[in-house]
Amino acid sequence: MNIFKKRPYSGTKIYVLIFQISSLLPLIHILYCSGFNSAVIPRGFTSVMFDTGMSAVPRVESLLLSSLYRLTLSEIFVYFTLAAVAFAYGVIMKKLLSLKKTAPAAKYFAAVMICIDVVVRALPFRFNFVFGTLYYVIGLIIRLACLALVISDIVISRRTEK
Amino acid sequence: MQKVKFSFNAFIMMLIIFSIFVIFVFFGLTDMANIRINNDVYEIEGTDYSVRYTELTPSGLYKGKGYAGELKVEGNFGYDWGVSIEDGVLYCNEYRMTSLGMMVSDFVRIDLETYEKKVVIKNAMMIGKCESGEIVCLDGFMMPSWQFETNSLYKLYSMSSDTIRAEDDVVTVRYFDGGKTVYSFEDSMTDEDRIEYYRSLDLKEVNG
Repeated sequence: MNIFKKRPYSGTKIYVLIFQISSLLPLIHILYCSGFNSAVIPRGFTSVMFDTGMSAVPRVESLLLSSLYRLTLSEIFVYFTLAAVAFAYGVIMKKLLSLKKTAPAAKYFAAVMICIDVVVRALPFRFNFVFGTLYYVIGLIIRLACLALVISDIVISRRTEK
Repeated sequence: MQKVKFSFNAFIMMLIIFSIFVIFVFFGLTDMANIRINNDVYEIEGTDYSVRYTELTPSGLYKGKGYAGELKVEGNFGYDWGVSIEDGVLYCNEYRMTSLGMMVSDFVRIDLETYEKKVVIKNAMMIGKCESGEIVCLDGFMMPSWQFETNSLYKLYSMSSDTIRAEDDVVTVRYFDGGKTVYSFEDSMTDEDRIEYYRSLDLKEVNG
């Protein structure tokens, strides 16, 4: 089986889709909480979605979101920032990947960003384990899968060029 | 007729617009997350001051008893865990509520001459005085009922904080005298009985 086979949906596009879905997962919980008092909500399906999503988005993004949350004390702000980042990243990457000139650079950019994120995750900082070991592993697997997708896409592009 | 392709980006755009309607219009109007106490006054024993929680006038520290007092410092100050007055300075908790109702507290000092408020420690809670009279404060602590393992938003809140060690429930217990930390230690908040233990300490005995 050749894993570098040309697919209708490129690896980088799937990575962008995974990034966007990861960013949208925590929104379900915030939207659910906005109908109640977030302090008294018991742990449930939406909390699991929140933890999974937050563990899957880049660590730097979740750290910045945490800082914004502590600064503004607003879950609504976190909600719209997450949605806006997912939207903006999707639009920019779609545009860059559609142009022949910028597509290779966009793929390398994505690969470098994921590599940096994996390195940050590997460091023994406390913030890496806030959501628990299970979510740490899930997040790491998702990011490594994204890295594999983007690298396979780069390899396919280089082979096609040759 | 032209064929329109529905992309994931379009879906996110629609979600943002939908959310603006749901969160700002529907929940904003019904205000479901609001649990504020409507109108309550707690008099501070032995002083002419009272703490007021109200939606009619600004909440804060009032001079004078009952509802006829004069507002001196605005804020959601706590009286539930006690207050302390030392050399004309009032020490208490100040509560801050997030937009969806999660409460966080800061340990603050208010000068009763100038009415200047200063945050002594952020994300900390004063829990009263110990046996030898020092103020006991839990640094890196959040409300007991909103513990880490049940609240995902709390996890996000604590993620970038260097004092809230929610994942192992460790707090720094600080003892204040004259506005300065005289003794501190780290401890795991395994149960609420620990609060009684912190208050039962006599620093003269502890320090030998």
